[in-house]
Amino acid sequence: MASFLIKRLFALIPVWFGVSLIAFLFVHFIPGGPFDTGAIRSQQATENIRHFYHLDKPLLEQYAIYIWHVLHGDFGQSMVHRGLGVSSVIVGRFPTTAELGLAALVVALGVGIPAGIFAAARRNTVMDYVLMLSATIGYAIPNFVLAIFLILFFGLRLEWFPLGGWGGFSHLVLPAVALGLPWAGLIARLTRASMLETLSRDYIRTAYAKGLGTRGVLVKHAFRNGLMPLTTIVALLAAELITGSLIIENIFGIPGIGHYMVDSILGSDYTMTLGFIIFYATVIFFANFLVDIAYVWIDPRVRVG
Amino acid sequence: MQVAPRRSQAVIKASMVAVAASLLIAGAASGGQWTRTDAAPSATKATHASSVLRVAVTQAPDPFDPATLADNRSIELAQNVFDGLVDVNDAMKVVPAIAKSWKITGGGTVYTFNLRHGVHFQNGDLVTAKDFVYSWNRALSPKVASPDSFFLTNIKGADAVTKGKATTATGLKATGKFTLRVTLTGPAGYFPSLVSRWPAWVIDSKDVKAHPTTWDAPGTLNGTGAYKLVRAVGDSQYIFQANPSYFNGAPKIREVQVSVVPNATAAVARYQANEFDAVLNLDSPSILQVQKSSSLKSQFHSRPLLRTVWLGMGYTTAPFNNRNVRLAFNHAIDKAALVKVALAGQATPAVGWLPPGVAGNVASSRKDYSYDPELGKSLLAQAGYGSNGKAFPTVALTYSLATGETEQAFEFIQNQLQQNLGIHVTLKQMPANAFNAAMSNPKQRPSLWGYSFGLDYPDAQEQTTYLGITGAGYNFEAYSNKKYDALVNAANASSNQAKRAALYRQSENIRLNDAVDVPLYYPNSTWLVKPSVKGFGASPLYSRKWFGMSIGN
Repeated sequence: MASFLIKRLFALIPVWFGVSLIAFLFVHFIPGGPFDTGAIRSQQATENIRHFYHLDKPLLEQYAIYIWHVLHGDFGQSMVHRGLGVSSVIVGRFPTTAELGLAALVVALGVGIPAGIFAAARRNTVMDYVLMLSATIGYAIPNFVLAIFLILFFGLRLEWFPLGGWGGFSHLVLPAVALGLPWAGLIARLTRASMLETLSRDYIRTAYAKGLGTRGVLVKHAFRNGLMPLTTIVALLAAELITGSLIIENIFGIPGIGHYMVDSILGSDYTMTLGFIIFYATVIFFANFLVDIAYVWIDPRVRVG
Repeated sequence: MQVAPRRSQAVIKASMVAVAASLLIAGAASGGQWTRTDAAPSATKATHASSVLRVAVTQAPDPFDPATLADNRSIELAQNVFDGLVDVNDAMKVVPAIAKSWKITGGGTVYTFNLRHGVHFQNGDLVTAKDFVYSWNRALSPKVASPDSFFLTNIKGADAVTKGKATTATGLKATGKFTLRVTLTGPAGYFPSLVSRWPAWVIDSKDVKAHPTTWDAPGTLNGTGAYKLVRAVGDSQYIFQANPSYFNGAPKIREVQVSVVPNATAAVARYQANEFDAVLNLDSPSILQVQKSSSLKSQFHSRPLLRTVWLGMGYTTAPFNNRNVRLAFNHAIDKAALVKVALAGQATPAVGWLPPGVAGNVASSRKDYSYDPELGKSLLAQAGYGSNGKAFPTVALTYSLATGETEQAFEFIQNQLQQNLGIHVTLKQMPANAFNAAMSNPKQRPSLWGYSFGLDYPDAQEQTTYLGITGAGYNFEAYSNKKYDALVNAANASSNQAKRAALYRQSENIRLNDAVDVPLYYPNSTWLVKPSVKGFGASPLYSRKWFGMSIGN
């Protein structure tokens, strides 16, 4: 198992460099540079600024300088917000986005998986239909619609939770629910389908025949084998949630990373955009790697050399 | 396969426990983390110390180094921390600040500033003329690469500094401990206005030399202003405290908490819940929301900015090289309706190209081209277009969403042109940077566009010289009129402010008679403020400094 995983890890390194190079070239070809703000500026000042950011050097030399700094943990300075270090933005804001994403993941899994298992266990009963209908509706509702509803009802009307901001458990609940509940619907449906597929297998019937109770069957045999498709989805979901929802962060005034991402792209802020792309690529690589480990753990048959 | 009912009870229980547990775990795991002392406190509700002002802004400021500040929202906050030789008041007149007086000699090329003797930085260091020499040379140096070095390049020798050929400008001398002599390359009546602005604010040379990378961090940021930036919570909250030894007197408000709430609608909701005393710079959705509420409506304020939004046209390219076509456009757009319908009333219909509030504007003295579609049609016919002439070429009205520009405004204009002149223009919205890059490139420049320009310093010199005269870098219309140029150059050179204003007014009339563009509207700055806060407001440039405010009962 170890050699398999180490091989996977080493395969990621050239991919990482490839992503960084492609991203680097890509941002430089966006029409309009970071300094095309329309503000009055002298020719000399523009030259000085370009020199300050190494933009007067050949493209590949710029890439080499950039990657060298990145490997030392320095993502450079924003080209639009002078004095703002890209690393400080990531370090300062990503934990917030990640916290929100993880909380949303907990909501999605914590509500979705039990609902799916329960619906599978009570297949074709009223409860099953109610749950699956709720799941479909929940999945269809855009998260920002849900967010506004939650703010109006639980925030303004009942005053159970603050209307926005960040800093305590009470600030986390509404955004996490808004972000996670729609996914709970998807997770519920997937879990149910996966469980049903697993429950129809021969070894389940054997387990019952051996005298194992419902709970034992579900927990010891069915759930673990039904986990595989779920794991794939959870990995993608985790990556999706951790990279944040700009809209939810915007509505709740959460100081996450989404705002800076959009801002940097619209402003052609090369260093900031690149910093985010490379950071996220690294996060996603890591998430995928964790999924690989999970696959091997869940199903020992997956250990392709 | 059917599951026995009794056994499924256990499953239900287990699922519920799982849900509850996961939520609790999430809470517990995170709860410990959030008792960190730098966690952003959401502003306290209702009863708070009456000398704390809580303001909501929609954008986090950049680090506060005066030499590299670039956006208005940062400057708006930084103006409370730093001062310059002079300042501008709400009427956009230059008034003394750290300089108590100044003399202009040498035919308008030598300015001698006499500084106050007892001004101190917030760390206690005394402000001397040498600090100004240091600050200005630093703002010119290529190492700092300030985008706004042009504010100071009127000074003799400054150009060499920006090119890296010198470290100090020869025209910049501290002739005494508190005397600063500035020699310019030529007479420039707008020089005092220039040095009222941020690139010329003074920083502590001793402090910056000793702490080159940390001097501008929250807590150690050191200016001469009425407020000191003591703490920043990430970039979502900034705490400022009054500087009791401010040279103009001790501020009345003890502390200002600036919270960044990117969504203006959310900021208004929290303002209603009494979390904020003021909200700056609302957007259209939140303004509409405010106007629906009777309680909020009375707390909502707006005033015109030193900014004009206009419809630009290619002066030297068909079809706009024909004055009748440009005049037709000027008569075909109902600006009052545009402001009312497309901008929710949050603008003023424009008469002149220079915005009101700056000396030399004609916004109140000149009669605008009338809204007269019939006249527009006949002018178009005179130009050879229309039903009896050739078809008007299809043009793309190109624009970006710079300050004050909205999609609704341009959709309205498109509609008016169709309705009133029978001309169909397509709309092309571009991201700001791509738009500006296209405008700067004569090959990519559109023939019809929307443009928004706001003055960086309250002097007509900026707009006329950089956007108006022949060959100017931002003169995208490629307008050229020798009389206009002569008037602007004369106005720039004179030191007699009344004479300058008159000259700029003449230049405005020439430009408007040539119908170079269609000035559309002057956008507003907007804000919400509780009645208990006295002195809150805005100048045409930014929201007012906190120094003059108080919180009464």
